Amino acid sequence: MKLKFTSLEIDGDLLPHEKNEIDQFKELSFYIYESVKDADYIDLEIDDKIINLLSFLTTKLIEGITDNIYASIFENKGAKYFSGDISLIISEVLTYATLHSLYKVNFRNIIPFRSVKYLGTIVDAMIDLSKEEELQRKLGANRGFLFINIRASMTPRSYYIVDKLAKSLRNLEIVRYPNDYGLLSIIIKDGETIKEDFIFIK
Amino acid sequence: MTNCEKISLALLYAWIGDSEKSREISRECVENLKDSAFEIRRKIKEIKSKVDEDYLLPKALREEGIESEDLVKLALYELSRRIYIFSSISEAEEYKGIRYAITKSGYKSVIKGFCEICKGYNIKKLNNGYLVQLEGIIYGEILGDITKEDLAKLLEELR
Repeated sequence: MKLKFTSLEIDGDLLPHEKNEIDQFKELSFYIYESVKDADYIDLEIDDKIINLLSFLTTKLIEGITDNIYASIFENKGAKYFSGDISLIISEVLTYATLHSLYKVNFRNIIPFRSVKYLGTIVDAMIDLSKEEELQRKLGANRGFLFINIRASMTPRSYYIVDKLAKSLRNLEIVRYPNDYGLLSIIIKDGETIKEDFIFIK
Repeated sequence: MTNCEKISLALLYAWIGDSEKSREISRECVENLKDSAFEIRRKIKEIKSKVDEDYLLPKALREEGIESEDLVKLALYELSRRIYIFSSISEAEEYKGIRYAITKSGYKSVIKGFCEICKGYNIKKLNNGYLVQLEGIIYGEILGDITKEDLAKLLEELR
């Protein structure tokens, strides 16, 4: 399946951490949202056949994900509602599949933490950078962790996305600060396709 | 991160229904991290109560000695505990080092498997389905029934 993909890098020092700084996560999220919204995208091809095997990493007991992606994105829904559980699963597998397609990430090196996110001090997933050469090249580091937060919306509203972005960034900083790496993955239904934005925090 | 790096393996075994191996790995991880997880949790609680604003928490944690690794340890402990508690009682089949399980519904067989020594990407397209292997993770869907012997042949070609 084809996705519209954009990516952006931001400096971790831009985010406020100290008392003499102002809590500007909301404003920063708005800038991020604005910059990825109209950014040039590339067409990214995801191999449909690897999507179903990704269900070993997902948070909820849902199988047959490929069918669900096609049903949610490409079919007329009529009076039906989008399922939150399904969009959660879709966002997870598409993020992991993209990491594999673009940076050759081995799925076995991904540790999914979403099922224990209630701890409040951890993100959706983590990758040990020392095992992933392409990601090392991308981030310019050969060690450390990449912490991943994933957000999805099938009925996107700008204020909602900005709000969730700010929340995700705050959450990411708890575990990333100061020397590790972060990735915010935003999956949005955009008409009859999916748009995926990767925001790297270095 | 001690032996808990293998935790994805526990997830894989749980996925194919090999609860024995999954519980073995997760139990080891729980035992390893139990003491430090309790201590980390206690410290976080203490620091959280001192911080007035959410955005100040990351720095406050680091200043009090809670590093990224500690937060990861705590999450690993909680994840392994969940895997250990909630793994169902099921068994997987084995064929020449490949652990696998077949789930049969009325019209379809779903094959999930794991092969420690398999590498790369390999796909087997069939008239009534497909089987794919990626870095040792195996998934397949076949319309109708499949016998163990037929499946063994297909798994052989996936290596």
